[in-house]
Amino acid sequence: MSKPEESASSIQTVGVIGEGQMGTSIFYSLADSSYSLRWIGSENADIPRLQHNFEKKIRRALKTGIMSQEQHDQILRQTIITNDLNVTADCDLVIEAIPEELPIKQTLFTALNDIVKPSGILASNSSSINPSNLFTGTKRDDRIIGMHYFYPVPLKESVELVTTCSTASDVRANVVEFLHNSGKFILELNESNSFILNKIYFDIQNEAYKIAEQGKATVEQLDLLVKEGLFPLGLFDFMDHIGIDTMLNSVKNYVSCYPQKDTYSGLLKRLQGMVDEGNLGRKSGAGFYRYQESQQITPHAVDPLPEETAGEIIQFLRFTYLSAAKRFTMLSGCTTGEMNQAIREYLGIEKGPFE
Amino acid sequence: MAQITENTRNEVKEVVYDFFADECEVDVSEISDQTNIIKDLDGDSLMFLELIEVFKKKYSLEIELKTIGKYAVKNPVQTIGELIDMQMLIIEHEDRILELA
Repeated sequence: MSKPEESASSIQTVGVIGEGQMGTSIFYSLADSSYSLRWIGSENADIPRLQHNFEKKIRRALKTGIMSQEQHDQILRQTIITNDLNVTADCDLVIEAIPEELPIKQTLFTALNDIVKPSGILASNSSSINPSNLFTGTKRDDRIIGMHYFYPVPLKESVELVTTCSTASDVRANVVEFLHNSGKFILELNESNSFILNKIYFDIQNEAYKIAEQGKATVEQLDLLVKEGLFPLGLFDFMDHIGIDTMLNSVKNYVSCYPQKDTYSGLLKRLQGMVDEGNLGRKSGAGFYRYQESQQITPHAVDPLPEETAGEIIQFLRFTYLSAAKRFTMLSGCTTGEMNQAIREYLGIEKGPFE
Repeated sequence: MAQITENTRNEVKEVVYDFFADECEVDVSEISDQTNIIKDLDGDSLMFLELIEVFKKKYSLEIELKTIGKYAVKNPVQTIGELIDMQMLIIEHEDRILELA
């Protein structure tokens, strides 16, 4: 988490756009620093509510001694919460965290391009859209960058930093400094190999879905196997948690530049069908699982797979995981140490794939 | 490592109850150890993190947020009572809490 004395960098005024889960998490991860912050919600955002909640948190931090009176007053003075995009005019850095839909993001970035001062850096928290797709052909092409945070931002150190072939060296350096000051661990990637943590996990999810599609195991059996032998969260449980619609948009974006699209067609079709039916995961009450008031209705009993089948499946999924991790590590140019650290945190596991 | 006394749990409970009453704008009498943080109070991980900061300050704890994050992945909490239990373990074991996981 950023500390006031650590933020003496070229980036002093930061805009965060979006009042969803990620936008809120990014804003609050920066809120106790000395940055001048502008938090911009959508047209439909309840700005008085956002302001009220923010002031409540700051007041409580003062009351509990986490923050001094001086810090409290300073933070209140230098924070603006609004849905007026014009407050980003003096921002050194603007971080977008709005829904994962390209046209909406492009409209936003076109507007920001006209509003934000020429030296301002425009960053996207997208988990699947490369920054150069947000807009091109302007004088600001060298000041666009991808900053993919993970939720919850204060707990997750990793950030995927995605540079384009036009990103200026000072932009990269300033953002790296900003992230280091925020205590973040940076995975530096280029656009041809971006968002690798999600892509590694997606490869495993895709292979697991094929197993389910072939009738060798159910979704519940696969999640149970994975939780027993690989990761703390089930592969399909994860998709429900993220949201099937978000997952579908991300997967479409990944697959669009993959040579063998057919490999992913089964899962894509299933996700599209679920979205069409309104089964968006935990938030809608149904996805791969069913939910009541956001709580998963656990199947009473999941029939255990024959030992041999279970062993074969987990061995296959482990191989898929290691193979994907190796492939994306080589493509990205990251070290195995960097990947171990990032994957450990991303998947909540004790040891990375190369440990 | 913080000294655990008989009063520690009561102190932790009071802080947790007051925190959720304030944050969720409900009367403290409406909260019990069985209250579900997400379902009943519409709580989220940001609230949890803020509470951790409060206890870090109050008991001068040496523990990183990521350590608590790792522990919480393996030992998720749903109710206020479970949260209090986890806070007690954090106060008692600090960075060594992962050895319990």
